[in-house]
Amino acid sequence: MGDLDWNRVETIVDQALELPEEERATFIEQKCQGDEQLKGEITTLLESISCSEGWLENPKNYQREFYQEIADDVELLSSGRNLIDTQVGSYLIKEKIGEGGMGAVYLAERSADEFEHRVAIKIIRQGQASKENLQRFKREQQILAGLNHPGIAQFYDGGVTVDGFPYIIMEYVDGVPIDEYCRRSNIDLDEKIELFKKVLEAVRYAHENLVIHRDLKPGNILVNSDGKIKILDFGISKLLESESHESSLTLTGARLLTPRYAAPEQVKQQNITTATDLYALGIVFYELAAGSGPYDLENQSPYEIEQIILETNPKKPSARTQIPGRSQKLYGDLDAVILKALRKQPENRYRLANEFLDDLSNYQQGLPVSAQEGTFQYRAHKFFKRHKQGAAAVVGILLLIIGLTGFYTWRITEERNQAQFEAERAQQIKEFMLSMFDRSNPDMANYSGREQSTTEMLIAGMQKVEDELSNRPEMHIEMLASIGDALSNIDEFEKADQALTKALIRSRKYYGANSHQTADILSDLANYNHEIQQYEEAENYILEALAIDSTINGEHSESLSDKISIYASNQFLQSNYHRARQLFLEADSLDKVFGRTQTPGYHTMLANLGETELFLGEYQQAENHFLQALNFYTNYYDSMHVNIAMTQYRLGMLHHYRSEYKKAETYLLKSLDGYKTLYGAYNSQLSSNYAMLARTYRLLGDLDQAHNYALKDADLTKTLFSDTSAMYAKSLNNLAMMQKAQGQLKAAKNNYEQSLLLYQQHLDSDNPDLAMPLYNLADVLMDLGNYDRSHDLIKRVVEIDKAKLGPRHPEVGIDLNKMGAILTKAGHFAQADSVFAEAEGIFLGKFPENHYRIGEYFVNCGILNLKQQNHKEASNYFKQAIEIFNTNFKEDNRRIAQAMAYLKKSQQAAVSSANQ
Amino acid sequence: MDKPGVTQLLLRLKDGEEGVYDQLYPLVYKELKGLAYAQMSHQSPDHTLSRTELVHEAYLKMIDQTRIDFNDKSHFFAIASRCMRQILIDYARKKNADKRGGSEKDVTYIDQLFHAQKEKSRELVGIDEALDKLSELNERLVKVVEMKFFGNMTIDQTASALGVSSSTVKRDWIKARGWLYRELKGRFEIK
Repeated sequence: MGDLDWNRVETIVDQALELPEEERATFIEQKCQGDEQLKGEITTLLESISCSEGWLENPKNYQREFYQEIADDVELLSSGRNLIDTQVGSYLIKEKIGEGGMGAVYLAERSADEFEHRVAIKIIRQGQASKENLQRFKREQQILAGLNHPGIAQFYDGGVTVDGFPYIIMEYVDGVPIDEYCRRSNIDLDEKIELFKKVLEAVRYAHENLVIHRDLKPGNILVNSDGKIKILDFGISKLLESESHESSLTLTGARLLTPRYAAPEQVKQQNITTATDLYALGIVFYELAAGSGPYDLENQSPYEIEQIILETNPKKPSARTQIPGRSQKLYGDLDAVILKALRKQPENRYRLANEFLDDLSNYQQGLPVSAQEGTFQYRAHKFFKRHKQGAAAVVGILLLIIGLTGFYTWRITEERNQAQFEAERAQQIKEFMLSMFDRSNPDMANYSGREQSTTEMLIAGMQKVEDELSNRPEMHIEMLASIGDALSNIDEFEKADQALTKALIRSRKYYGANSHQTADILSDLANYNHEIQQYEEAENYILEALAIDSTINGEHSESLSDKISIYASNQFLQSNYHRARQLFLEADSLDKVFGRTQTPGYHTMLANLGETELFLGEYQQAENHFLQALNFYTNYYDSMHVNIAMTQYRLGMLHHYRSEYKKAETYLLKSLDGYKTLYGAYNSQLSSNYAMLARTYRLLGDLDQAHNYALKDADLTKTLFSDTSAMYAKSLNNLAMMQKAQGQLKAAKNNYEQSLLLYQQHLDSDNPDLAMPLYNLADVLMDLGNYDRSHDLIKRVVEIDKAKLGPRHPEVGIDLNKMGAILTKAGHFAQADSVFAEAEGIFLGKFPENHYRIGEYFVNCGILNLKQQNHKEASNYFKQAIEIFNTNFKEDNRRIAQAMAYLKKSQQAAVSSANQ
Repeated sequence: MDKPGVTQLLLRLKDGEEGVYDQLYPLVYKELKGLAYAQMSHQSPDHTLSRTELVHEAYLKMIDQTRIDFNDKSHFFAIASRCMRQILIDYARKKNADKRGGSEKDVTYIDQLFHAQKEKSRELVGIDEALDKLSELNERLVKVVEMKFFGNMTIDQTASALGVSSSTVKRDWIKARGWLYRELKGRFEIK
């Protein structure tokens, strides 16, 4: 409306409004003198004026709800109404026994029965009973009601009060907090350990039932008059936490945690796992054992407290205890056990209550504890498994410790002679490291936790660099960067960040912001940020590195290639597959120009390109690149190497996607063997192999093998990552798929639900990875006849996949095919028809000819036509489907049988309708 | 700020002094919001305090009656209307943000209630955005909507605050209403 004169519009409208309605048109016509835009504006405005008669005349309608809500909020803020003598459920509230940020706890009684029954009722005053909350609340209740353990206060019931507040009825426990109990009863360390083990048993039980406490602290761990422990509020803070997003005014309760017992991931508001509970218990145990906690948190601001939790490594309990004679008892094993529970990274802590329990039992029996062993193996394994820079960086540390000899000539980022170098040095490093960890080594007399010492060594190295090399900037920068890489390799991310950032600052100062040295450190920082999954941050670093490099060396230099390749990986990690491919291809052409195509690095890049193409559905190119990389690796490495196993796995995946299941099986089994040779039978890498094999066998029709591998996978992830992990969610999903194939629909549905629940705990609601569990649940719900929910779920899948992969990606075709089938079953034929129409273009344009998915699509179209009495069309669809299936499957495949049955049905129907 | 101070500001506003509005606005906003919360806490949930009462109360609290005549009161009400627009819209926006992300599953009676509420708050946010657009065409139309719709002011009070005739206010109101309706229909189920 840019050139419209609004004043004129208003003037004419004002005048027109004065006229009787029948005269207005002529009046406007005359005033506008052929200015169609002006006329249109005036006419529509007048129409709207008459249509909107009465609208907005009663503002109260709009305001009432908001006042209502303000009133509710105010009510929540106010000190609370008196609930004593109020009836809740079948209980009468007697007295208030506690008050928290979220609400109050009351003692209530039911005296209607012959015997009196006392319960605790918690009324949650935070947040409204919104739709989401009520649904969650119902779900949580079911879980909590299933939690029956003598060490856990029993949950009885839950509901919503008359004024809309959720409440929980639970066992009333008459006891004192565990710390107070220990102080009062003056029990010795061994008795404390016994008591604490009971706590761990209760927590283990809850974790096994997939309930995490999230707020364990002495106040929630009571000991009753019989000396038995009872844990309160299991699973309840989770219920509250999600509601706190809803609350509009109370900031006070927005972050529900007790700082003293909060794990780093809680402070950072990251994923909560079983390890989070075990951290809190670690602190509780520390306090019980040492008499005070690991940190001095008195008189600290909330910010300082958070920093301490995130940054400060806890002192050994033996070093902090003031209890006479206690230090010797704690020194060694108990120090190690407690510190293991308090590691900053959840994955380095005890992940299962069982592990913690075992270590305490071992300690009691004088056996070695896991916290003292295995960690070196784990670390060393990680050291050597990591990419070249990691190993090179370790060499840097080695040289540093030996005395900085001969380092001048050597640059860590050079990959020349990489493999030979790695092999030679690895042995040296291993020996050196082992000697460091030998307990008889007098230098290590003060050493109490192996893995801690590795860290300490690196940190000491960092200090040494600071002290001794500050006047030799080139060495200084080089060493800081190496140590940063090494720290990152052993997951000391905060320290790694410090070292790399320092290196960056010094390099900018010494070499200048636009130097190739600075650019290299920026690349390191990008790689480091990939490790910690900070992809946007990584992107900033690599873009800066690229800008510097192209300023110095121009747009087509040799050194640019590595950086472009990192940038490509970054884009891949951020799901920008098209951009990633484009960048990989750029790196490829640079490498070709500069003759750098005979290195492992080049082929890693090619394989990454292949994987990107796999995601883009460009299967032929992907295969070419994988094969090229695999050929190179098999010639290059003398024995099994992770690059070989990984590429075989990728080829397996590719053939699976292309429905070439026999080939997929071959590659996957080879890859599985390779990984087992490299890392043993208990390695997370095997999980993907098992899962892929299960799916492949399912499609080969070998359902027993499929189920077998799916179970192996579930066992593995449960053991390695716990049953609340995202990895386990993936395994459950896979297992459910196999159960569905075997016709166990209910079991499949339950596992899918469970899996989706876990996924949702780990992922944001718009995360593209949610598409898969949603699709599978939709699928089984369709089979179970729950079409509405099934359709809702598949709708979200289509949205997610379109956004992630583009509207014409093969995956979207598969989604749409399912959606059409659901709509057909639900009897919404017209909708189904248009969904299939959208799918058609994808199936015919994007899938390889005669792909079985096209057959499935034809079957679904056939069914729709059959239901609509279009017998001829239906028969045609089924015939085409059978033709395609015949090229893919053996005669006895259920798809063929099914399509044949449909064909027969439609032909019979055609005959009988012709006869009528 | 004390009562004489606020009264003084209001008088200066009437005289058309620059910058006074910006001083007065946050004071009235704060007072109104505080009053709303304070008052609500004594109300039973089903009793709704009328907005006119609220503004009136703020007025009594903030302004020295003996120094102000009816016309000046309109100026105060005009500011209060603007404040009420902001208070309500902030609320509506937050409400929308809070409710976003819920999945559409089995629809129950409760769900429908929430749905209806959400519609109203969305509509309010829509009105607010449309008003910003309208202010580029004719600022006065926006003021009329603020006073009449958000501030519950009468036609006469509005006319007095704006220094125009009552019939102009009526015409402005009709045009603004029509214009908003045209902007928003199709986006909301109006009426």
